[in-house]
Amino acid sequence: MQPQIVLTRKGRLFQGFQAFLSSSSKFHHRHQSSDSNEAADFSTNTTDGDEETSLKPVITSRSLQFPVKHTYPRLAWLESMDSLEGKKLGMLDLHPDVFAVYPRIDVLHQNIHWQKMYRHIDYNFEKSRAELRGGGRKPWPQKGMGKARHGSIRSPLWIRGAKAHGPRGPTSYFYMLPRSVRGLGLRIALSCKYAQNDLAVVESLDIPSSDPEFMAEMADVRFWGYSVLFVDDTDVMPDNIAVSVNGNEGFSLMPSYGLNVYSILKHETLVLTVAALEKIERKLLEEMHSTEKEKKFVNTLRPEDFRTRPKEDERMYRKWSQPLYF
Amino acid sequence: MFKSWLLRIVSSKPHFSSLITKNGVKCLGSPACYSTKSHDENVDLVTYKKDVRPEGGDRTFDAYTPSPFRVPGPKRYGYAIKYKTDGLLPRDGKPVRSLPPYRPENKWDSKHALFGQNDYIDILGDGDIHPADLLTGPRWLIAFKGNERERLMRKMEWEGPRLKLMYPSEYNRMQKRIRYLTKLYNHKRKSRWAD
Repeated sequence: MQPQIVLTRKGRLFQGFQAFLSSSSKFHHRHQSSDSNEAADFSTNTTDGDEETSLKPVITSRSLQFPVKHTYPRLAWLESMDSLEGKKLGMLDLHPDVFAVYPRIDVLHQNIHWQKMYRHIDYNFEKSRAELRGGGRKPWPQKGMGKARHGSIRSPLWIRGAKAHGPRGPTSYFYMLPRSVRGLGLRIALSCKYAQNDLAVVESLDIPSSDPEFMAEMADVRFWGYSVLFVDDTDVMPDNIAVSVNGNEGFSLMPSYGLNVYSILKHETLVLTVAALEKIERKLLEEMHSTEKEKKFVNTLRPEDFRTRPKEDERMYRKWSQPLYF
Repeated sequence: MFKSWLLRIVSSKPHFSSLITKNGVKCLGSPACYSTKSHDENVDLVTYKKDVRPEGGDRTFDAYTPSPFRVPGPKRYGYAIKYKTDGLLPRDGKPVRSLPPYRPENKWDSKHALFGQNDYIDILGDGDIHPADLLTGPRWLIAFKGNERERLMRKMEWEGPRLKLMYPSEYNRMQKRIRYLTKLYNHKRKSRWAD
């Protein structure tokens, strides 16, 4: 499955371009304030009444770990999931090292190939000429028959003979990509999703109704694609979203630790909650800036690890009624 | 004298296939000859030369009595085709063998839609789980890659005692294969070889 990254202009608001083109002083001031090491301006307004009456955004800025000076933080709308259209609750800063990485297709390909192959086990098996039944005797004498010379009826030349270099038993294609390459793949996938306007950040996954059609209509109204991947912080999800996602083909629900390059590219739209966004960004930046030397994966499994019954003492020894004296 | 000899033949009743009656030759195989008249009349069994040879330019065989084996009647020439040339073939209840019907996979069922989940759990999770811990398959093959000899040796370590007891043929096959591959890899093949 080859990802096709095509930068097209879409009808509705294009988040990435909007931020780049509108270089007003107000935006610059806000970017500078978030770059500096200040306390987080995370003002979440939980009461609904204030949102409607005051018309103020819920979140005005977000502080970023490991700030970067050579480029600017990208911006994303924070949407709500309580109605079909949804309200814009504010604007979030996204770290450029996670959401504005150069789209390296070769790294994406490496990641997807690894995801496909490292768990693949090929169970095909063809018997060799030694393992096929029969074929031990020379079918006819070497000379004098006027026939071609043969040693066994199971040689690869014969019908119903063996395969010379066929598949041999369960074969595994396991290997591990370096952690840095995998982290980079995730960052590139998220950057591609952001750049192509397929990323939506949502306050939480609490939706008013569990009807799958409500979710389908919401995705339709918001121009989310056929397939949507909802990512939350933890693996405990609200009931409504679980039922809706189950009822719609193409919709998937995942915790943040389950995110992967294959799923990001398979689903057209990626919907992250704020908590999930925070967690993912933090983990990816930690991985990127970690100074630990990566440990090579070594398989330390032993047959004892799979033992379910306790090991019994099977030594055969005679039971003595009285102690022995020599 | 000749005629008396013939009468003697006729008087005895041997088995004959056709009767030469005064009216003509009647082959006994056909129902026409099972009539009461033919039994009573004198019959001639053998063809013999007639005393009187008729003169004739045509190729007639009137000099001889007609063959008792020739069945008189109209003759049909030609060849009747005894196989079907058109129409559906009879199956006699047996189904027609064909490829199985194409059933495309559903790429959005839970297995396909969530493929690859938890592959980055060591980066995005708490760091205590490695994706290799979540693999499934034959126990000796999980998170292991090797050539055929290495796989067989690992299988022998893990499953050897059990196979020796329960599947001795498989155990023997593995033993022989390991021995053969050791010789092949070390004495015949170069050091770098795709297996």
